[in-house]
Amino acid sequence: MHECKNIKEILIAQGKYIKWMLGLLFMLGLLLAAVALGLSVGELNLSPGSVLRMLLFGGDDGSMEYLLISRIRLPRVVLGVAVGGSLSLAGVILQGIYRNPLVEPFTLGISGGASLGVAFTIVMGLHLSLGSFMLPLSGFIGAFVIIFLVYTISSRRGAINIQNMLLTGVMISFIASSAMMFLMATTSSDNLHGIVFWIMGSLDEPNTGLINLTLIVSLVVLVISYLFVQPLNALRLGEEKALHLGFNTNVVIRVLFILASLLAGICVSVSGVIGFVGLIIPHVLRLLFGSDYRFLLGGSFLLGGIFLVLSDVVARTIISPNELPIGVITGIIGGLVFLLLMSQKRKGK
Amino acid sequence: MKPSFFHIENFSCGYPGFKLSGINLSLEKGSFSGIIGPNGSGKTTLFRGITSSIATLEGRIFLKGKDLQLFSLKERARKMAIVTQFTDTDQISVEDYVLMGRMPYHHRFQFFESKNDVEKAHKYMQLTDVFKHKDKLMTELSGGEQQRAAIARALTQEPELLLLDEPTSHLDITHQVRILDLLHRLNQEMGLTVLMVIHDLNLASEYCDQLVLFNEGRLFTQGTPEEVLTFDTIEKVYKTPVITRTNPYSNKPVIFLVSEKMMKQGGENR
Repeated sequence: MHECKNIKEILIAQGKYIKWMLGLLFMLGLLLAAVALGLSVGELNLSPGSVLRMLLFGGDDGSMEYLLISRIRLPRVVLGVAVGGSLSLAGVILQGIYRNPLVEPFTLGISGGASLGVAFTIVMGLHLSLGSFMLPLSGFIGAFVIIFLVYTISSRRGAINIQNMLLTGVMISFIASSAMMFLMATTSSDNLHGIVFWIMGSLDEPNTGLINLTLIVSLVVLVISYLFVQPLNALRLGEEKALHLGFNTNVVIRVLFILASLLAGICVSVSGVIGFVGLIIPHVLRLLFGSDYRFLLGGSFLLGGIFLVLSDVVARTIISPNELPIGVITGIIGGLVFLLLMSQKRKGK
Repeated sequence: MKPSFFHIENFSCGYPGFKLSGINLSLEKGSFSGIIGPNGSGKTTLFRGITSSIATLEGRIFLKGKDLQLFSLKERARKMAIVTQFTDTDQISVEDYVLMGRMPYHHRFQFFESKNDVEKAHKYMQLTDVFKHKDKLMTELSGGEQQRAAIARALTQEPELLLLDEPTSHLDITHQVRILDLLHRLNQEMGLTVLMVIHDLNLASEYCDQLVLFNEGRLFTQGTPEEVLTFDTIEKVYKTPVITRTNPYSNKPVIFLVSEKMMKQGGENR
């Protein structure tokens, strides 16, 4: 094909492509290293080599180490990659359609809705009577009720007003958090503990089916989002100009909004509210590589995975044998790294 | 009658509260036309109607004899490019910005620009004299440079019809003339059909072959600058006293404003 013949020349002519590919490869390597670290480090430290041997060749030898790796650490690390990747991918997509770098999945009330759903379940004791799967399920339902409300309130006569949507999301999120405070104020302290624990977020999820589902959905959405990478780039110029370049912005915005909501809804129902990832990761990549979504989508997924796996390692080792909520770590480390990058960027100018 | 290149027929569009109606307009291929009219007369609304940013209420638009509604959005973007008034964009380099003009030619799964795309972008950046700024950010350019980059972006779409919304607003006279000379050259050398909204009546008169005057959501009159820019018409539409003369160099009509101060003096003298 004509294009394939020219691909070498294009790569040479366009230095940015080489930079992107090196960046992606580097992050892929880093992700593997983070996963290895996540599998090896904990209360019981193992060498990465022995972990690798066990997973690749060892099979089930019934040893304690094997059980620890395969039943506890591996699911946790996989969930870390999936949730970290999903949250930053959802963040970068939403920032693209809102043309606002400060939007993150939880700005739009998705976390508020999920938390409200979970709080309701705990207060009503539904997770005791119907089974513990009610917690993620109610979180997911809560998130989607909110998304549905935001979506319908802000679309009028077939067109979506994107600025309305942002404001509506913020307002509904306030209402949801007030309703949740009402529930928390009126319930018993046992339930209160359960709600707070859930809100703080954790990668400790016993259901492996749910973990696999999260990973699969996140990868599928990543692939689908690349089908919309051109209109997403055109939207950098504004909705009207993207239309002038031949993209049906109305459809694109809707599809991307639903995809991002799906990601955030699943993450929040599996792992609770882990804030900041969706905001900080795309931002760091924008600072380092620019705002082209051809790089940002994949880059955000990888760096989000790395960041969450490493944060989880810190969260469960720093005050071992106890565990810190992972949201504490993502907030502190993410914020500090971000401030550092910002100040260096300013010095560079 | 031979169907003209671009033809607007009994067209109506608008928002709640403001409506353009009964617009009939024809452009010949290779023409250079200006839309003039007071603020709020519907010039920009017409543009937004043509580009489907707002819904068409009535009437049809034909491009080369084919109803515009029948073109796909991408096809349309290959035939017709729009330079809107520059608004803040994302942090984006001039080269990447201009390259976006190639998007209508990309197929759905094409993630990288081809060599041809890059060459075209460079060619039009050179033509509009922004090539030297290619690695700067759009936000680092001056108003005139941004406008030229926007034109370069529109040109990389390789359209047959170029629409511009006030390409000379906020520019000093040097840059106004540079932009309009550039557009004139594109019109002459590449046969590009140009339709622009322009506020400055004297620039409109000097550069355009055909003028279309809008007033209060309707097309007031159209014709050559000599036909449109008459004392009566301008006073009726703009409700401002003016004097019309002829540019001694180009023989085009020129409009002089008359201030209130001068009106009073003139009255006393008389």
